[in-house]
Amino acid sequence: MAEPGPAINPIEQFDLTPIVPIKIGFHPYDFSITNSTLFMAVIAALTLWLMSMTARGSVGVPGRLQSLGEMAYEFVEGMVRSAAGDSGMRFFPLVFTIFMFIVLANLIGFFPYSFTVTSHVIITAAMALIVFFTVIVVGLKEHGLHFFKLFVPDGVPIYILPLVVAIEVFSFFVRPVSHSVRLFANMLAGHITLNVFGGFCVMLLAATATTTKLIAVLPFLMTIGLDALELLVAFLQAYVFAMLTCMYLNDALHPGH
Amino acid sequence: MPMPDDDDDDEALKARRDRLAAQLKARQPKPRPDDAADASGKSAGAAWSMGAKAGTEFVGSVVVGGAIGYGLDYVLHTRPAFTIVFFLFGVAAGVWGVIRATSPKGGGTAP
Repeated sequence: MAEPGPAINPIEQFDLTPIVPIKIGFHPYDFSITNSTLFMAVIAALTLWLMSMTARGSVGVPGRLQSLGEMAYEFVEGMVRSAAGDSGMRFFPLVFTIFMFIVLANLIGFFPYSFTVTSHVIITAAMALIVFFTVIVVGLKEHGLHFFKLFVPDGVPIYILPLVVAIEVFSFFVRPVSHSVRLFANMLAGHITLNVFGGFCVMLLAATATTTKLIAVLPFLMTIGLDALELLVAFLQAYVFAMLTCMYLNDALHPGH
Repeated sequence: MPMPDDDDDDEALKARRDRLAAQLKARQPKPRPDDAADASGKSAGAAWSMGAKAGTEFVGSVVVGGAIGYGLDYVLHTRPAFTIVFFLFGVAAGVWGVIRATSPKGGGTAP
């Protein structure tokens, strides 16, 4: 009794669609303005708006927007100070930008017909690589060759040291991979799950039998629960990404473990 | 007679300063008793990020190790050799990373 329901494609929501097609070069490279570009611009504009509203009429008793902006600032400030120390505040602009971008991208993804930028690995990998190269450049600039002390832990017997150093170097290069995949995979999986359960609802409602239609309540309840979970994940992943950024920058500032 | 007055003032001022210092000290947050309290007192967010870090870095190490081995085998036509070696290396790096991330800092050394 398989009834033909509407086709649900849970991957479709991640499709990139060009809005303003731009092709550059002889072998045309695609520089099109896509829905992803659009939503990144929206995120940037929102951040700019929020922070300028916060800074504009600084009054003693802040309004709601100013409170929000100040809370965001203090939240990230506490994160940077606890994970990278006071000298880590040099990187506050970087961490704050990353945090606001991710948290807004994840939250905007909740709106129907929106696009979740962070569900594309290229976006998260770009951010992870910015952090990765910042760590290397700052570490080398601040500490010169002492930066490589990062790979030589204290108190390791000499006969096992080559292996340990190899492992440390290896795990240093694994970091940008895990850093980017964690955020991307969480957002991708969450949105696919939501879409699948939403799709169950639609499919069941398309059925002819009334009893089958009633079962649609179950996946609907599941969707509500998952939405709450996704809200937690959206915020938490932004926090985790920013927190690990601080931890990695801490390595650049204090490489001697 | 300015001198005794000054002395009195100094005495009084010193007493007030001492009293103020004592009050300030009483109001200041107590220094943390040990590192364990420090770790548990931290926000749940820090714990979440530690967990996320340990988990994904373990998986990442294994996968990246295997991928490097597979790539080397593909280039050098030595099919199973490097895959096995680098996979095991990745597992070792993953375990090492988790142990380092979860073992308590300290033993007197500065972080």
